[in-house]
Amino acid sequence: MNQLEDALRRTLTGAAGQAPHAPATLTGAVEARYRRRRNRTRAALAAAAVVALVGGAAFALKGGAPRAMPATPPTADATAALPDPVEKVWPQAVRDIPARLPNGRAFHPIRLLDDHTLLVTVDAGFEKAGVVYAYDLESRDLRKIADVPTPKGTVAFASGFAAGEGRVAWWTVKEGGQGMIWSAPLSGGKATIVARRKVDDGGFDGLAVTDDKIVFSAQDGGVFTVPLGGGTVEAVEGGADMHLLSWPWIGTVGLGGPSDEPRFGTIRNVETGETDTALTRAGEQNISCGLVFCMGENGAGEYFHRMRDGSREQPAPCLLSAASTPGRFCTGPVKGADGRPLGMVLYDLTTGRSADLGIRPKGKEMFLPVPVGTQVTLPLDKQLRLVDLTKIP
Amino acid sequence: MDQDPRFAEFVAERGDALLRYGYVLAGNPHDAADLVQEALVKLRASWARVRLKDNPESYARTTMARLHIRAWRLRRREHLAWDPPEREHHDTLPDGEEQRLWHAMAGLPRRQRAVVVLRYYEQLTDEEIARVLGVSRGTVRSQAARALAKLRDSVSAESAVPTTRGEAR
Repeated sequence: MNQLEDALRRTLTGAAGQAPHAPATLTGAVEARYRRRRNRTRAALAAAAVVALVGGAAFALKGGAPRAMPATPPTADATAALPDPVEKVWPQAVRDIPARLPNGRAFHPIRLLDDHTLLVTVDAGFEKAGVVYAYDLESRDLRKIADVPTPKGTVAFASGFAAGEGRVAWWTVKEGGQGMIWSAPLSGGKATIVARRKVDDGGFDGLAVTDDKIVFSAQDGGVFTVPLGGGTVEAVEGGADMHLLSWPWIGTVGLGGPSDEPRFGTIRNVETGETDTALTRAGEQNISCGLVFCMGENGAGEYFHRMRDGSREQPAPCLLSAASTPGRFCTGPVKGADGRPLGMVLYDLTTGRSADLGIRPKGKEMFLPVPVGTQVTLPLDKQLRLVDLTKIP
Repeated sequence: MDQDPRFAEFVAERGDALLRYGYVLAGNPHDAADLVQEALVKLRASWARVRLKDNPESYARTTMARLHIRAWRLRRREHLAWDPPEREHHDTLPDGEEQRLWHAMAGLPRRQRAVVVLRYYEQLTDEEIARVLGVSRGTVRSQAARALAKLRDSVSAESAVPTTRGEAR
């Protein structure tokens, strides 16, 4: 035992005695942080299933009439009525389908593979694997793509489904942070693990199938690629601490990032090296950016929507979503003259048009559908309504 | 999932001990509080499993050591729910040598500091340290040797030119 080591023992023990005491509020603080984190993760996972407490501050465009970017901000008290129903405003984009599959099972819509084929998953039942299907909305034909295995010890179930290049991919996490990326052929077959990666409780926050590879990012940062059929996982150059936005664009901070830093405020094109930093002003918070637009809250607590460079700013009629980055379309509630919520509206921020999605409040809550990718899905009585945003000119 | 009352009990009973450990790991009360809270959030998320299979305290301590060496910057990520008051903490260390060593530890890279804390505060063997930090035993040895050499150097240098503040990083 040498002197230095003895001195170190004394020093560390002595210093430890100088540590502050844990406050009585520590459990509460931990619980609050845990719930915040969990809600964020859940929001990111169940993107389209956010329920908004009605009555929160929200601006709305004047109902109905099409108009361009308003020069004067529309105000909350201008919103006494809902706009026309979406099936009238954008009939070509709306498709209502039964809420259950032809086999009677409930399902989760994932995304449209083409005009009339919807990728759907069915949850695992008792001792039964989940299944991912291709669902033909016209013929109502249900074609099984693959079983979705749930390995023993799984703590985060299959999430983040993405499709492309004839493959469908998703991720799971086993206890101890063993993240796994799965892939199966869209034509049908067995799901295989194509990549493994240590992750934290949040799992992954981005997954895409592109060209000849699968791209993914971890909630705690880092963008990686793996060949479609599996192989070596490679870190994307300059992708440490970054998150997948829309390949080949990656950025920071990710959707799970802190509210005082703009989500995807800084982005980089991995292929060309081009970078872009979104404009932010002092006092703004909760800023979230996509490839083109940003949404956020100004110092006065009002939501805004604008281009990444700060131009074309206008009040945002929508609620901010923790689950997706802002694009051309957004959703928010409209209140009547008496301040009571009337329904949920889809806004096209480029043309200024808006449409009533058909959702009505239930008690104190109202379902808030969020545009994810190129579609909005929402439950409507015994039906499921799909709005294909690519069909809106 | 509602909170298990045993989790609250664990925090109440072991919070101070974890904070002491966090303090020697991080070197200042703020990062110590962050480390403890972050580790407890992770423990909270896995409570049912950890309580049955592992030792919650060792889970929390391992998490804290790993968070510390991951150059973790929670301050950037989340507002602290509780931030301890600033205070002069090193002036009560009994003699000059211990104060100098405590100062000198602030100059160690995170991983070296973690190895020193695990060895001389937690009294772990190199094998155990390797497991906690997820590195090889050889790495533990070389990191420890480098840390000790650096501490020895800076303590002898500092004896000549004493500094006043222990929180520099």
